[in-house]
Amino acid sequence: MGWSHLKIIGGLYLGWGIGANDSANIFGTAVATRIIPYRLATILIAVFVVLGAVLQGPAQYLSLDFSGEAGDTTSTEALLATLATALTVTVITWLAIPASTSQAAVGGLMGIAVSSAGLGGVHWDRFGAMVVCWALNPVLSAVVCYFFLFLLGKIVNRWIRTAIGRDRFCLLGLLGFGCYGAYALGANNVVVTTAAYFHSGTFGPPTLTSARWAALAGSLSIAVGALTYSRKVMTTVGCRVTPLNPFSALCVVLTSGVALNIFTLLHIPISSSQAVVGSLIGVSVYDRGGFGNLGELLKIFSGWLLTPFVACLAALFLAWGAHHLHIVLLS
Amino acid sequence: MIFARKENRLREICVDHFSSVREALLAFSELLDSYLVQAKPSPGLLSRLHAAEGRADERRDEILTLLHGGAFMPTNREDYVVLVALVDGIANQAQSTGNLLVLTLPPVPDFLRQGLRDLCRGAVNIFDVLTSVFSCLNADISRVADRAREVSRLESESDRLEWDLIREITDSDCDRALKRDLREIVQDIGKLADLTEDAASRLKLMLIKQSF
Repeated sequence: MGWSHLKIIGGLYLGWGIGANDSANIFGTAVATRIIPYRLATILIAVFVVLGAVLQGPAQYLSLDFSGEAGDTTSTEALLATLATALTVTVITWLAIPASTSQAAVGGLMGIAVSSAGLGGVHWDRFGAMVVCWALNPVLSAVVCYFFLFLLGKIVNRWIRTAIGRDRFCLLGLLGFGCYGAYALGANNVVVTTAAYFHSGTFGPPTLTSARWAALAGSLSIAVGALTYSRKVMTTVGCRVTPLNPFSALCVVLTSGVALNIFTLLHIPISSSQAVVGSLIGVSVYDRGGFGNLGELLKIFSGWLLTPFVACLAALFLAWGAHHLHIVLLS
Repeated sequence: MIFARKENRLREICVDHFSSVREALLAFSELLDSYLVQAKPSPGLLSRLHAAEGRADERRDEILTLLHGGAFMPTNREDYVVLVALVDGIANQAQSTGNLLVLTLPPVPDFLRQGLRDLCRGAVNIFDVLTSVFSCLNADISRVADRAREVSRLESESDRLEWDLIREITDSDCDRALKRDLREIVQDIGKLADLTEDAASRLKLMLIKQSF
């Protein structure tokens, strides 16, 4: 293994961050309210993230490339893209603005693509499609969650007529849909961890087989992040989220899993946090007929818009800096 | 976890708990009947009342142990803790009123006797309806609201009877000390229906939380 292979550490660090942060979107409410033990939650996340990444993740690798030709990203550029992502997420999080790791990663890849291929050589149509999907994600999640609350509510009220039955339904639903959410997270988000390295040839020629290896590496880093550093975010986010009863919590988890799965089929990485916020809007509309705290929502949306562009600029800056300072990282 | 073993076990113990509390209520009702007839308390019935209340306490402790051991989701456990405490309070109230009767031995005037019997039997009747509300929670949850409304209706009738009895006591020729003792007995028996209605209200709250 050469130095170029070791540069993958940037992507693995990104994956670790996704695991540490996004685990809260899957089991945060259930762990914070002690419905599901923390250790069980992290083990389930680790197992199902890897499954989702390996089974459904590889198909996205071939399409997540904004530069003119496939495979012309270097491992140095891949490292710079992941560094730009990590830097962006760190700064925006420090400013207490919600940030999306996957969107920042796409912004980083865009910056590298612009740096290497120039503005004219970039697949702007792919990026444009992603931006549209990012905007659609919370709206779709709100609508789908509202639908699930209505439909599942009718089913439960009609067919599960005992207190014990409803208690079990909520518990098993949170467990089952949480596993599905972890699977969908792995399938959708793994691509942002190692896509740049895949296109740089770190895993071999860009084929479906090497994509599977890339997905495995990325998913293991997400799993490690969930296992090692997700407790604080899980309990904090779980408690700060709008008070949810177990039924609405399982609808939120199911909705974010469905949203992630839909966009995985479209080969577009999205933010699980945005899917959850969209779902919470759906819960708020269903329960109270309103959208909740509009000021807080505007702050969240502005963070989402800001993140990919800041990451793009950060990647451009790093690439420019590396070029002009002649930093050759043994590529 | 999947087959709800702990939850079903808890339900069985709750049914036992309800039975023990009913036994305590019946023992008190018979104790009161026997006192009104013989003007002295029956030691056997008093022992039976204490034993039933003791069994209710044991069932309550078993329920709390099961809840602590993980029965039901944490969000629902509090409801069962409060419900068990409310139902257990009915047995405690029956025991406390029985003790008061035995210790003070008030001479009960004739005009009050039938009213006291009716008030006490009413409390047993209301508790039977409460038991059916709890059964609905684990058979057909949609019927909980209707049955709980029946408890409220019967409790209102009990309140009216209690008020009538207190007014009769106040208007009577009994001396002030006896009036005070008799009012206390009537209010303590009337409290049995109040506590039963509180338990029914908790079951209604559980229904609301479980309806989606």
